[in-house]
Amino acid sequence: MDTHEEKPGHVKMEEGVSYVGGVSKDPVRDSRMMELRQSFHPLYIPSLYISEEKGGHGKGPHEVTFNLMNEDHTICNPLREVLNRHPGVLHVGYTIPHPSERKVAFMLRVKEGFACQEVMRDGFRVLMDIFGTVGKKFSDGVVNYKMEHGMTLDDEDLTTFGESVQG
Amino acid sequence: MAAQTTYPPVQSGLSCILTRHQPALFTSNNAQELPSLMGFFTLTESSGVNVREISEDGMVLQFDLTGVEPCIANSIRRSLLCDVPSMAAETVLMYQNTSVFTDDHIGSRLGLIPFRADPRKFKFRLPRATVEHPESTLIFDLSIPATKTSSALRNARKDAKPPNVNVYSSHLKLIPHPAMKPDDEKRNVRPISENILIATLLPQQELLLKLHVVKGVGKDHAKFSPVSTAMFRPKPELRLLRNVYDEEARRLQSLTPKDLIALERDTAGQEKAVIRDSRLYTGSRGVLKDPTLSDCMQIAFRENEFEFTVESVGALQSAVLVCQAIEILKKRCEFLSLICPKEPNWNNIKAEETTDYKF
Repeated sequence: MDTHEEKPGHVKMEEGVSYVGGVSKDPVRDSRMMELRQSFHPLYIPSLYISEEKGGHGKGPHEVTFNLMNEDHTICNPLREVLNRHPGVLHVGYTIPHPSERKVAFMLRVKEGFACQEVMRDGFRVLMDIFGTVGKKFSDGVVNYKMEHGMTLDDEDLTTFGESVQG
Repeated sequence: MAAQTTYPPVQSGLSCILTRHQPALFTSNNAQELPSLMGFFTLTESSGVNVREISEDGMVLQFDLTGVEPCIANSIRRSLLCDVPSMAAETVLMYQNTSVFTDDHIGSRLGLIPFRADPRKFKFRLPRATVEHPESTLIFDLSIPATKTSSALRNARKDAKPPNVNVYSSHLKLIPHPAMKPDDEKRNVRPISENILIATLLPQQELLLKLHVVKGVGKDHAKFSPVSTAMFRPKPELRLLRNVYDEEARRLQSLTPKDLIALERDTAGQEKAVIRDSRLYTGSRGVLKDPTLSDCMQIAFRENEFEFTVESVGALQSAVLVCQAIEILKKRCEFLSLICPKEPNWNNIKAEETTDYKF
């Protein structure tokens, strides 16, 4: 997490391990990140960094534009919907500057006492929860349907959602 | 003269009511409640999934998703189309091609052939790989050598010559890697359909090539999309606002989609129109244009309730694909939340150390 350069207003986070002095600062998080990284297509690995504000970084910590790379409406629209319901959020919106570039500019403005990064992480957490609930209910529904209609249950239906074979 | 169309009043549970000119859209009232942090974290308590139908071979799936915002449903659809991986031919090594088709024409046809392979057992091929690893690539061979014809036959009449050779996808043969075990499942990978016509050759033309089948995502190329279609629509809700009898009922039946309106005999001996099932509505608005029948039916869509139809190409069953799509979305969110920087670079804000939430 301390691998960014010390340029003013520009924090670029490489999605990789954060090594300080040869030892990883947070091995659990890094190993989980490496594991997740395997499941993405190598040309389309998502990443995130905070963009350099043009008018100087006087906008401060409460109004931040995140640049998400290799992302599109699939993640950003639900994230925006979810963050609108966050009590600490004043304004959230996103735009895709050019459709040929896989980049999203995600603007977030929060009230006093909240931090933008924390609010983003809350948003991602809630999105994970939503998808997890929907997935679990879906797989339960499939199992119920198959049992009602006498179809054979495959192994995949019986594994709990989230523990299935990694794609 | 056309009747005045009044804006229909807000009804709970409906997001949109179709009228003669413009649909009446109702925004949800949820945004007006003051959100609290606890309420923020429990957004899906009222959601539900109801599986409507799974076909015999599991390839066609219809299910209802209720209690979620339309953007979540759209994300699932987009993820099914773009992010769920599947296997298709990516590289073609052409050794000999004397047919009338160009190399790239045959190559693009080969790429669109779907393969019956479970993409979860393979890894993505790294972009700068120099050696083909059996974990990531499968090599297929297509060799149609030239049929040898004597010069006498070549100059003969048309019906005496040997016929044209059709190259089908059944001619693709897997070349197993030397390290592959004899009982490995990967030896059974073949195209889903045997009857895909790739090219037609004259007897003296030849086609020799090798194919690399790799794992990819639909975002990269549409050939990697594992569904032939994935669509959703808001659940329609049709209601008859007044009783329609006999002649009018038959006219109503002719104006609405097939099988939507059924005629029942009621106690007075008249034939009454009854809506059989709202989901048979296919989107036609002919009823609303009719002068007398336009006020008898209300066509509306329920709020936050969607019907999905997912048809898989054939590699995996549709239920598995939907589970994978949702899981990939979840993994993306988790990955992004892990790489979101914890401590900002500004001096006047101290971000607290977050405790590990249990998911």
